[in-house]
Amino acid sequence: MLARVAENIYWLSRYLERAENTVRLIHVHSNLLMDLPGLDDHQSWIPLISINGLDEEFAEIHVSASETSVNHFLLADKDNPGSLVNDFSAIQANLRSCRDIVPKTSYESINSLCRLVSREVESVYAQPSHRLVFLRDVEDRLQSISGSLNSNMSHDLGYRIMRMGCYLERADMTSRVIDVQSTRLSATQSSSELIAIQNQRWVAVLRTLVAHQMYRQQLRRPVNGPDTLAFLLSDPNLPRSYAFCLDHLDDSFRKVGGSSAPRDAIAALRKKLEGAVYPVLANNPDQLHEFLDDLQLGMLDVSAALSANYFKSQDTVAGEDSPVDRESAVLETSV
Amino acid sequence: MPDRWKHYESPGFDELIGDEGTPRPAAEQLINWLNELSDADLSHRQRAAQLAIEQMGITFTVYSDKGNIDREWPLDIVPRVIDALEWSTIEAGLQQRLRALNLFINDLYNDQAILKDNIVPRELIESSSNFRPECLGMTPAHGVWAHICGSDLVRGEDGTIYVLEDNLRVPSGVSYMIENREVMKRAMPEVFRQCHILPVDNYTDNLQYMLSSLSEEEEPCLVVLTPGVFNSAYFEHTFLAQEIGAELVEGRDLVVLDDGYVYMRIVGGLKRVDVIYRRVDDAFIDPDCFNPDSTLGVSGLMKAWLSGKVAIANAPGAGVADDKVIYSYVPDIIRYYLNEEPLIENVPTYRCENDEERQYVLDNLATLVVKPANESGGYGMLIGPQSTPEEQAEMAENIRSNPRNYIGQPTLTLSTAPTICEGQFRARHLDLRPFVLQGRNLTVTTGGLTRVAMVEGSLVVNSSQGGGSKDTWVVKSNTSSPSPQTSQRQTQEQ
Repeated sequence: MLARVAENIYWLSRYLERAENTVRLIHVHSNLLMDLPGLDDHQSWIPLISINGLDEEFAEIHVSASETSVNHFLLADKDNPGSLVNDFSAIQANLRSCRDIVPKTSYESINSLCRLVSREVESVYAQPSHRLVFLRDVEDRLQSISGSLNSNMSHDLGYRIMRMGCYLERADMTSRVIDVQSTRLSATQSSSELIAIQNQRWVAVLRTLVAHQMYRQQLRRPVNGPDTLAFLLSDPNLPRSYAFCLDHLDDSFRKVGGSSAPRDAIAALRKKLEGAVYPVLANNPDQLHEFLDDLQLGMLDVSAALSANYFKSQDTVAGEDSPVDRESAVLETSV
Repeated sequence: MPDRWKHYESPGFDELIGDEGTPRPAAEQLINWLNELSDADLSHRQRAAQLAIEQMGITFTVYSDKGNIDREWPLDIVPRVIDALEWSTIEAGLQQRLRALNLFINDLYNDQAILKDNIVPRELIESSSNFRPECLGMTPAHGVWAHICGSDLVRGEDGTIYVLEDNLRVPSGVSYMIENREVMKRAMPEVFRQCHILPVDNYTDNLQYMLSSLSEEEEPCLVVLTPGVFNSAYFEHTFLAQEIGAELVEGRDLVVLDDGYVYMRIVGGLKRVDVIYRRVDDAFIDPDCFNPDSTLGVSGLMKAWLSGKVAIANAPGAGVADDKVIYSYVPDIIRYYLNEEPLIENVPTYRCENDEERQYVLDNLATLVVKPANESGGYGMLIGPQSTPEEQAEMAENIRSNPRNYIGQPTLTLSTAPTICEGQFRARHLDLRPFVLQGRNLTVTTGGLTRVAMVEGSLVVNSSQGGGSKDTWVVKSNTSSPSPQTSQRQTQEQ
């Protein structure tokens, strides 16, 4: 596989995962707000901006958050680099360059979805009922695309690089969702309602990551902070848990081969997770924030190592297309 | 017959409807089936085809002042039908033609016997912008230069098929031929069970086999070289790369190393490339050799090719036979090399370099079609009967200042086929571009790409100028389909 195309596939996959996270986030959050009648408009909607790390960009255009402004910004605003329409233009641009790699059926589904989004997003963002149907539809289609890629594409180099992009993006999202919701917990001060509200928020965190049902199956006790953190960060079986993403990333790197830098960066992140004391973190928002920040920085190291490993041109003759054999790439420098 | 036939009339030969207004034999089942459809059902089918084209992302790119625009590929759902018996003659004629053209190109770059025997004038070749002296002395594998040829066929008023031109540089359109069929299967699946339509999708296997035959490696590494995502035929480049299992590369992905071989930059290093199916014009493939400003090509590629370290299809220099003046010599070329009479005729052609013929063209600009020798896509031509006196004067000026570059041909009344226009069937002019492959073997597509001029009376079928397309059916009449055999699927025991 061409290094240039590998990079396109990687970003295609990251943007697909990001789009899925974006629509689910807004969808779940909208539902959640119906059960939180006491909040004002700004309090209700600003977390969506914070999760995406777009506070500054948002503040440049809007004085305060409202349902319409936040939804416009996250879904339809072409000036917001993180908006859904811009995700989809990036998807389309990358898809173009790896059209010959992606299975035809998957290509068609992605292409149709790009068209659907650009056609409908302007008319739905301001109308809650239409918006919810739209978000649900886009999420369903993205999931079916991921299923179609999984079962139609050879699980070779291109596929593995695609999965790497997906797990990287997903792990990042998991840490962001926990970060924002827990930071907001610290802002809620009064003592008597605290426990109730806190637990409700932890439920929100679980729901945002589609993990509530799995949590109940696994833990069989009421939702609480330490258990939720342990489940979302360290559970080995939950597909959106941080540890699960790390395991699969590591496995993909092992199968593809290349320099050890990405796996070293993953090992460092694993060590960090192993050292976490969840009961302490759950009750100490500042520490939790710092901990999650470290995870995000560590993940940046992984992605930098990945890109140096696979996308940078190395003028040495490789063995077979896949897997990349580090030794052969280094040994045959004399050709 | 339904109302939508009410005003149907062809100004020339119609491909589907005979003189009495009855369907031609090969088209009979199709027409009967179409006639059973209600107007609503017919327009529903056309919409279904449109939707399939959008979903499948079948597009072509139009260059405009406002940037490049991706347009949906235009397809009319009434197919063009050719009797398999007639097709077998056309097929033989196309093979004959390409075989002769390749002997001709190889001769030009080696012995030049045809020039020495004064069959084709030497000045004509030496003044051709597509003749590449760099290629002199080269003989590619199998002596073949033009591996992929798209010849445009038209049918005149009397039903005779002519070759209008041979595209030997980077002919495009074959992906649309294959995708048209896919779309038709989605839009009208029932009709495929009733008519015996020969499949078209063997082309990509033939292409892969042909490209592989250009290398001595057992499993050669094939790539498709594209100018990039902004090229008007980029859709086709990705399609073909996918179908033949080749990497789709751009110039920047390739490098020629000191050992003289061509490599592509893959994940983890470099990989040797054996055969390049290039969709980049000669002039841009190697900045060292041709256009020094080209960023689409690869430095050292020509040297690698000349020393036999990589095969290139079509070979650099093959375009010399893709010249509308040389076209007029093709019947002589066939006789010279093969000692056979041409099976498909040329359209009569006046060469403006010849004084008498030029005068004839200048005197008859209002009735002739005049074409520049080396343009494609229908650009720079004059269709006499549809031109203004100003356009004719401008063309006369062009001819006088550069006679070598122009030919004239009688304006043919191209054949027509029923085409849906606002719910009615209307006769629209069309042509046919079959694709011929030559490597170790010679193969021809089953049918080809039918292009149709969507505007009444128009003879311009190029998609870049508003033309549409039709699926092309080569139909065996009077054959029965075998009964299907299936084994039962296993089910859970109750």
